[in-house]
Amino acid sequence: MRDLTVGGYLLCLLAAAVLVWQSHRGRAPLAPVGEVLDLVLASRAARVALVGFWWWLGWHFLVGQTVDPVIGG
Amino acid sequence: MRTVLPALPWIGILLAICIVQLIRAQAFDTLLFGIVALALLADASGLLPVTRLASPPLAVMVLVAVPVGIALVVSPRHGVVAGLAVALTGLACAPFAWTERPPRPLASASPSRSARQREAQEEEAERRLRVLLVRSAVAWAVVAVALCVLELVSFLVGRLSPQSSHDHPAISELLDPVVESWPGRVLFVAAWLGLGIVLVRAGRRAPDA
Repeated sequence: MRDLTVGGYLLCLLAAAVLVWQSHRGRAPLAPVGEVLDLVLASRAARVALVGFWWWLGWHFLVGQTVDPVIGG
Repeated sequence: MRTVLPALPWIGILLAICIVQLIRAQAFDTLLFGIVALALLADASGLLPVTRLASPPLAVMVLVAVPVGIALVVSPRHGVVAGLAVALTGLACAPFAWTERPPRPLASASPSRSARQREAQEEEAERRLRVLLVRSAVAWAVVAVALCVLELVSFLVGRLSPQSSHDHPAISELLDPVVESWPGRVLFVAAWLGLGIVLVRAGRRAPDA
């Protein structure tokens, strides 16, 4: 079961890599990541939400509690 | 009164994260996402002032990021120095995230063409670009939502027992030992600061959406 969960994460990573690859080939069906980010982050709400989440990632992994205790443990 | 509707999905996402942090019993994290959601709601309702601030040059950002990165790598994890470095980084980035960005100017066509031809060409180019951008944004959103759902399910199920925690690891559990190692922390800090620079700079060339 663990392998299935980890496989799910890896599949998402692979999908992201495919999107990046598709956006950089000739006559690409997708826009480059930078262009998409520019579109999404033109909205202040999106930018504040994503910058907030980005900051929290740094806090979560470098400063705060990264791994939670198990309830049933 | 500014338009509330475009901000609602982002406020909803922040509130959903707020609930997850509440389940984690992390008061600070809950408060953080709650305050950001409330600030966005107040902003969308026109209650907060809008600032116009140009992004600092890339060279300046890199010059600031390097010492912060070194401090985060050499200082102990979960320590005071790391806390100060991350907190100050957030405080420095916040005004640039909050600022209003100017719209991207349209690409100009050849000056020898007539005004009507140029206008039609620009409209067609912009329409194609919008279709491409929206298609790409939807594709990225599908991947992001899939990852979030998987992470959420793993987090909730994994809390029930040591066995389910092993079977359904959250991303934090998988990355924690990586960040604990020296090379892993260098990679994480570089990626985190790099992404921060991208997020603070992105959006300034965007069309008026």
